[in-house]
Amino acid sequence: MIQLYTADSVHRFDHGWLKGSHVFSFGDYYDPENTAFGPMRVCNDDTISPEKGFGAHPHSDMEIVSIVLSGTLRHEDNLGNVAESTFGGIQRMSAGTGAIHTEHNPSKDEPVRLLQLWFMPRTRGTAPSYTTGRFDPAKLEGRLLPVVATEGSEEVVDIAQDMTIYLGRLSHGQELTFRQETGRRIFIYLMEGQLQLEGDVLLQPGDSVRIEEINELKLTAVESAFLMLIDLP
Amino acid sequence: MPERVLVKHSVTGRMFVNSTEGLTYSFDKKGDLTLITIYGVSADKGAAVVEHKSELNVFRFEEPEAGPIIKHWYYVGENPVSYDEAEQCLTLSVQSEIEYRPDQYWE
Repeated sequence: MIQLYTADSVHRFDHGWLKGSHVFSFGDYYDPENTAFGPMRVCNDDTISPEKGFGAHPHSDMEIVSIVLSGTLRHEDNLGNVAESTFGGIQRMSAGTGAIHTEHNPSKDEPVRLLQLWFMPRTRGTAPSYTTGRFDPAKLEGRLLPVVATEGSEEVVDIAQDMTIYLGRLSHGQELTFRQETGRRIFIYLMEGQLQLEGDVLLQPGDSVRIEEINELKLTAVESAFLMLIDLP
Repeated sequence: MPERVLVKHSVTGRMFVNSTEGLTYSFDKKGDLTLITIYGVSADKGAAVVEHKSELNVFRFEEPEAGPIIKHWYYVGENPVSYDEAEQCLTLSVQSEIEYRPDQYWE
Protein backbone atom coordinates (compact mmCIF):
# COMPACT_ATOMS: atom_id res chain seq x y z
CA MET A 1 0.00 0.00 0.00
CA ILE A 2 1.40 3.42 -0.98
CA GLN A 3 -0.09 6.56 0.65
CA LEU A 4 0.95 9.73 -1.15
CA TYR A 5 1.13 13.09 0.66
CA THR A 6 1.75 15.76 -1.96
CA ALA A 7 3.67 18.94 -1.21
CA ASP A 8 0.44 20.90 -1.77
CA SER A 9 -1.42 18.83 0.81
CA VAL A 10 1.00 19.16 3.72
CA HIS A 11 1.13 22.09 6.14
CA ARG A 12 3.25 24.86 4.68
CA PHE A 13 4.20 28.00 6.57
CA ASP A 14 6.16 31.23 6.28
CA HIS A 15 7.08 33.04 9.47
CA GLY A 16 9.57 35.27 7.66
CA TRP A 17 12.71 33.99 9.38
CA LEU A 18 11.48 30.38 9.09
CA LYS A 19 9.78 28.83 6.09
CA GLY A 20 8.97 25.26 5.31
CA SER A 21 6.58 22.38 5.64
CA HIS A 22 5.42 19.90 8.25
CA VAL A 23 4.60 16.44 6.91
CA PHE A 24 3.17 15.36 10.31
CA SER A 25 1.34 17.36 12.99
CA PHE A 26 3.73 19.94 14.41
CA GLY A 27 3.60 23.44 15.88
CA ASP A 28 0.31 25.08 15.06
CA TYR A 29 -0.62 22.28 12.65
CA TYR A 30 -2.55 19.59 14.47
CA ASP A 31 -4.44 16.79 12.74
CA PRO A 32 -5.18 13.86 15.06
CA GLU A 33 -5.27 11.61 11.95
CA ASN A 34 -1.73 12.61 10.97
CA THR A 35 0.57 12.26 13.97
CA ALA A 36 2.80 9.29 13.23
CA PHE A 37 3.95 6.56 10.85
CA GLY A 38 5.23 3.79 13.06
CA PRO A 39 7.80 5.42 15.35
CA MET A 40 8.20 8.40 13.01
CA ARG A 41 6.56 11.52 14.42
CA VAL A 42 8.06 14.56 12.65
CA CYS A 43 9.39 15.37 9.18
CA ASN A 44 9.98 19.09 8.83
CA ASP A 45 11.63 20.65 5.77
CA ASP A 46 12.82 23.95 7.26
CA THR A 47 14.68 26.91 5.78
CA ILE A 48 16.08 29.30 8.40
CA SER A 49 17.20 32.83 7.50
CA PRO A 50 20.74 34.01 8.25
CA GLU A 51 21.45 34.59 11.95
CA LYS A 52 18.01 33.30 12.95
CA GLY A 53 16.93 30.11 14.69
CA PHE A 54 15.36 28.43 17.70
CA GLY A 55 16.33 29.62 21.16
CA ALA A 56 16.82 27.29 24.13
CA HIS A 57 14.08 24.68 24.32
CA PRO A 58 13.67 21.17 25.78
CA HIS A 59 13.18 17.71 24.34
CA SER A 60 12.64 14.32 25.93
CA ASP A 61 12.17 10.70 24.86
CA MET A 62 12.69 11.40 21.18
CA GLU A 63 15.46 10.65 18.67
CA ILE A 64 15.94 13.88 16.75
CA VAL A 65 17.89 13.84 13.49
CA SER A 66 18.87 16.94 11.53
CA ILE A 67 20.07 16.48 7.94
CA VAL A 68 21.55 19.69 6.53
CA LEU A 69 20.78 20.10 2.82
CA SER A 70 22.43 23.50 2.31
CA GLY A 71 23.97 26.20 4.46
CA THR A 72 25.10 25.72 8.08
CA LEU A 73 23.27 24.62 11.21
CA ARG A 74 24.73 25.28 14.66
CA HIS A 75 23.64 23.24 17.69
CA GLU A 76 24.40 23.95 21.35
CA ASP A 77 23.02 22.04 24.34
CA ASN A 78 23.08 21.83 28.13
CA LEU A 79 25.17 18.64 27.90
CA GLY A 80 28.10 20.76 26.68
CA ASN A 81 27.88 19.86 22.99
CA VAL A 82 28.46 22.51 20.33
CA ALA A 83 28.50 21.60 16.64
CA GLU A 84 28.13 23.15 13.22
CA SER A 85 27.05 21.04 10.25
CA THR A 86 26.94 21.67 6.50
CA PHE A 87 25.75 19.44 3.65
CA GLY A 88 27.09 15.97 4.33
CA GLY A 89 26.60 16.54 8.06
CA ILE A 90 24.09 14.77 10.30
CA GLN A 91 23.19 15.73 13.88
CA ARG A 92 21.44 13.25 16.20
CA MET A 93 20.13 14.06 19.65
CA SER A 94 18.76 11.28 21.84
CA ALA A 95 16.70 13.38 24.22
CA GLY A 96 16.02 10.62 26.77
CA THR A 97 15.25 12.04 30.22
CA GLY A 98 15.69 15.55 28.90
CA ALA A 99 18.02 17.99 27.19
CA ILE A 100 17.94 21.68 26.36
CA HIS A 101 19.30 22.91 23.05
CA THR A 102 19.39 25.73 20.54
CA GLU A 103 19.54 25.42 16.77
CA HIS A 104 20.39 28.40 14.64
CA ASN A 105 21.91 29.58 11.38
CA PRO A 106 25.29 31.18 12.18
CA SER A 107 25.81 32.50 8.65
CA LYS A 108 25.49 36.23 8.03
CA ASP A 109 24.16 35.82 4.51
CA GLU A 110 23.23 32.24 3.60
CA PRO A 111 19.99 30.51 4.60
CA VAL A 112 20.18 26.97 5.94
CA ARG A 113 17.83 24.26 4.69
CA LEU A 114 17.47 21.11 6.74
CA LEU A 115 15.27 18.12 7.25
CA GLN A 116 14.43 17.64 10.90
CA LEU A 117 13.10 14.18 11.75
CA TRP A 118 11.80 12.89 15.09
CA PHE A 119 11.40 9.24 16.00
CA MET A 120 10.16 7.59 19.16
CA PRO A 121 13.05 5.69 20.73
CA ARG A 122 13.19 1.96 21.31
CA THR A 123 13.43 2.59 25.05
CA ARG A 124 12.22 5.60 27.00
CA GLY A 125 13.92 7.14 30.01
CA THR A 126 17.54 6.72 28.91
CA ALA A 127 20.33 9.20 29.54
CA PRO A 128 20.38 11.95 26.90
CA SER A 129 23.17 12.00 24.33
CA TYR A 130 24.27 13.83 21.20
CA THR A 131 26.47 13.01 18.25
CA THR A 132 27.31 14.22 14.78
CA GLY A 133 28.47 12.39 11.71
CA ARG A 134 29.46 13.05 8.16
CA PHE A 135 28.88 11.16 4.94
CA ASP A 136 30.64 11.68 1.59
CA PRO A 137 28.14 13.38 -0.78
CA ALA A 138 29.90 11.74 -3.74
CA LYS A 139 28.70 8.37 -2.43
CA LEU A 140 25.05 9.37 -2.92
CA GLU A 141 25.23 8.94 -6.71
CA GLY A 142 23.21 6.04 -8.07
CA ARG A 143 22.49 4.37 -4.76
CA LEU A 144 20.73 4.58 -1.41
CA LEU A 145 23.45 5.44 1.09
CA PRO A 146 22.71 4.67 4.76
CA VAL A 147 23.47 7.76 6.86
CA VAL A 148 21.67 6.92 10.13
CA ALA A 149 21.12 3.39 11.48
CA THR A 150 20.75 1.33 14.63
CA GLU A 151 24.36 0.28 14.31
CA GLY A 152 26.58 3.28 13.70
CA SER A 153 29.88 3.28 11.89
CA GLU A 154 32.40 5.75 10.54
CA GLU A 155 29.97 7.34 8.10
CA VAL A 156 26.70 6.23 9.70
CA VAL A 157 25.25 7.95 12.77
CA ASP A 158 23.71 5.59 15.32
CA ILE A 159 20.14 5.97 16.57
CA ALA A 160 18.24 4.27 19.39
CA GLN A 161 15.54 2.78 17.20
CA ASP A 162 15.32 -0.17 14.79
CA MET A 163 15.55 1.83 11.55
CA THR A 164 17.80 3.14 8.80
CA ILE A 165 17.78 6.50 7.00
CA TYR A 166 19.10 6.44 3.43
CA LEU A 167 19.87 9.35 1.10
CA GLY A 168 20.33 8.90 -2.64
CA ARG A 169 20.78 10.72 -5.92
CA LEU A 170 19.51 9.09 -9.10
CA SER A 171 20.28 10.54 -12.50
CA HIS A 172 17.60 10.90 -15.19
CA GLY A 173 16.22 7.46 -16.11
CA GLN A 174 18.15 5.61 -13.42
CA GLU A 175 16.31 2.80 -11.62
CA LEU A 176 16.88 0.94 -8.42
CA THR A 177 14.92 -1.55 -6.35
CA PHE A 178 14.64 -1.34 -2.57
CA ARG A 179 13.96 -4.66 -0.87
CA GLN A 180 12.05 -4.51 2.39
CA GLU A 181 11.41 -7.18 5.01
CA THR A 182 7.84 -8.32 5.53
CA GLY A 183 6.11 -6.34 8.25
CA ARG A 184 8.27 -3.23 7.97
CA ARG A 185 7.42 0.24 6.71
CA ILE A 186 9.04 2.58 4.17
CA PHE A 187 8.88 6.39 4.25
CA ILE A 188 10.16 8.42 1.28
CA TYR A 189 10.59 12.19 1.01
CA LEU A 190 11.68 13.73 -2.30
CA MET A 191 13.88 16.79 -2.01
CA GLU A 192 14.61 17.39 -5.71
CA GLY A 193 13.61 16.13 -9.13
CA GLN A 194 10.89 13.65 -10.06
CA LEU A 195 10.70 10.08 -8.86
CA GLN A 196 8.34 7.34 -9.97
CA LEU A 197 7.45 4.47 -7.67
CA GLU A 198 6.39 1.11 -9.06
CA GLY A 199 5.91 2.75 -12.47
CA ASP A 200 2.77 4.31 -11.10
CA VAL A 201 3.10 6.95 -8.34
CA LEU A 202 4.96 10.10 -9.42
CA LEU A 203 6.62 12.24 -6.76
CA GLN A 204 7.47 15.92 -7.09
CA PRO A 205 9.72 17.87 -4.69
CA GLY A 206 8.17 18.07 -1.23
CA ASP A 207 6.02 14.98 -1.81
CA SER A 208 6.27 12.06 0.59
CA VAL A 209 4.91 8.53 0.72
CA ARG A 210 4.15 6.07 3.50
CA ILE A 211 4.46 2.48 2.29
CA GLU A 212 3.44 -0.79 3.89
CA GLU A 213 3.15 -4.38 2.69
CA ILE A 214 5.58 -3.98 -0.19
CA ASN A 215 8.69 -6.16 -0.25
CA GLU A 216 10.24 -4.87 -3.49
CA LEU A 217 9.92 -1.20 -4.37
CA LYS A 218 11.04 0.01 -7.79
CA LEU A 219 12.29 3.60 -7.90
CA THR A 220 12.80 5.39 -11.24
CA ALA A 221 14.18 8.93 -11.61
CA VAL A 222 11.99 10.65 -14.21
CA GLU A 223 14.27 13.63 -13.69
CA SER A 224 17.47 13.61 -11.64
CA ALA A 225 16.23 12.96 -8.14
CA PHE A 226 17.50 13.54 -4.60
CA LEU A 227 15.55 11.50 -2.07
CA MET A 228 15.43 10.29 1.50
CA LEU A 229 14.16 6.75 2.18
CA ILE A 230 13.61 5.50 5.72
CA ASP A 231 13.25 1.84 6.68
CA LEU A 232 11.01 1.67 9.76
CA PRO A 233 9.53 -1.05 11.95
CA MET B 1 8.82 37.01 41.92
CA PRO B 2 6.23 36.57 39.17
CA GLU B 3 6.13 33.06 37.86
CA ARG B 4 3.88 30.76 35.88
CA VAL B 5 3.44 27.07 35.16
CA LEU B 6 2.77 25.73 31.67
CA VAL B 7 1.93 22.25 30.41
CA LYS B 8 2.39 21.74 26.67
CA HIS B 9 2.49 18.88 24.19
CA SER B 10 6.14 18.12 23.57
CA VAL B 11 5.75 17.26 19.88
CA THR B 12 3.30 19.82 18.54
CA GLY B 13 3.81 22.54 21.16
CA ARG B 14 0.07 22.70 21.87
CA MET B 15 -0.63 24.60 25.09
CA PHE B 16 -2.74 22.47 27.45
CA VAL B 17 -2.55 24.41 30.71
CA ASN B 18 -1.34 27.93 31.48
CA SER B 19 -1.44 29.07 35.09
CA THR B 20 -1.87 32.71 34.05
CA GLU B 21 -5.47 31.79 33.20
CA GLY B 22 -6.51 32.09 36.83
CA LEU B 23 -5.08 28.77 38.05
CA THR B 24 -3.14 28.08 41.22
CA TYR B 25 -0.55 25.39 41.81
CA SER B 26 1.71 23.74 44.35
CA PHE B 27 4.94 21.76 44.25
CA ASP B 28 5.37 19.03 46.89
CA LYS B 29 8.13 16.50 47.35
CA LYS B 30 7.04 12.88 47.55
CA GLY B 31 10.03 10.58 47.90
CA ASP B 32 12.13 10.81 44.75
CA LEU B 33 9.33 12.55 42.87
CA THR B 34 7.85 16.01 42.94
CA LEU B 35 4.08 16.34 42.70
CA ILE B 36 2.93 19.36 40.74
CA THR B 37 -0.73 20.01 41.48
CA ILE B 38 -2.62 22.55 39.40
CA TYR B 39 -6.06 23.71 40.58
CA GLY B 40 -8.92 25.04 38.51
CA VAL B 41 -8.14 23.04 35.36
CA SER B 42 -11.18 22.47 33.15
CA ALA B 43 -12.28 18.94 32.35
CA ASP B 44 -11.35 19.09 28.66
CA LYS B 45 -7.84 20.35 29.41
CA GLY B 46 -7.36 17.83 32.20
CA ALA B 47 -8.39 15.02 29.90
CA ALA B 48 -6.07 16.24 27.14
CA VAL B 49 -3.08 16.29 29.50
CA VAL B 50 -3.82 12.77 30.75
CA GLU B 51 -4.28 11.54 27.18
CA HIS B 52 -0.85 12.90 26.21
CA LYS B 53 0.90 12.14 29.51
CA SER B 54 3.83 10.44 27.80
CA GLU B 55 4.57 13.53 25.68
CA LEU B 56 4.47 16.54 27.98
CA ASN B 57 6.68 19.58 28.45
CA VAL B 58 6.06 20.92 31.97
CA PHE B 59 7.55 24.33 32.71
CA ARG B 60 7.83 26.81 35.54
CA PHE B 61 9.04 30.22 34.39
CA GLU B 62 10.47 32.68 36.91
CA GLU B 63 10.09 36.15 35.45
CA PRO B 64 11.82 38.75 37.64
CA GLU B 65 10.98 42.43 37.20
CA ALA B 66 14.63 43.12 36.44
CA GLY B 67 16.86 40.38 35.11
CA PRO B 68 16.61 37.46 32.75
CA ILE B 69 13.90 34.82 32.80
CA ILE B 70 14.78 31.55 34.52
CA LYS B 71 13.11 28.48 33.10
CA HIS B 72 12.55 25.17 34.85
CA TRP B 73 11.59 22.12 32.81
CA TYR B 74 10.34 18.94 34.47
CA TYR B 75 10.53 15.35 33.19
CA VAL B 76 7.37 13.29 33.65
CA GLY B 77 8.56 10.09 31.97
CA GLU B 78 6.43 7.12 33.02
CA ASN B 79 5.31 8.67 36.31
CA PRO B 80 1.63 9.17 37.15
CA VAL B 81 -0.45 11.96 35.69
CA SER B 82 -4.05 12.22 36.91
CA TYR B 83 -7.02 14.54 36.76
CA ASP B 84 -9.79 14.80 39.33
CA GLU B 85 -12.78 16.29 37.54
CA ALA B 86 -14.77 16.89 40.73
CA GLU B 87 -11.92 18.92 42.23
CA GLN B 88 -10.74 20.30 38.84
CA CYS B 89 -7.30 19.27 39.98
CA LEU B 90 -4.49 18.05 37.71
CA THR B 91 -1.56 16.24 39.34
CA LEU B 92 1.71 15.52 37.54
CA SER B 93 4.49 13.45 39.11
CA VAL B 94 7.90 14.51 37.84
CA GLN B 95 11.21 12.82 38.50
CA SER B 96 13.77 15.43 37.45
CA GLU B 97 14.24 19.06 36.60
CA ILE B 98 16.48 21.10 34.31
CA GLU B 99 16.93 24.75 35.18
CA TYR B 100 18.16 26.93 32.35
CA ARG B 101 18.51 30.56 31.39
CA PRO B 102 17.79 31.19 27.70
CA ASP B 103 19.99 34.28 27.77
CA GLN B 104 23.01 32.02 28.40
CA TYR B 105 22.44 30.36 25.04
CA TRP B 106 22.03 31.78 21.55
CA GLU B 107 18.83 33.81 21.35
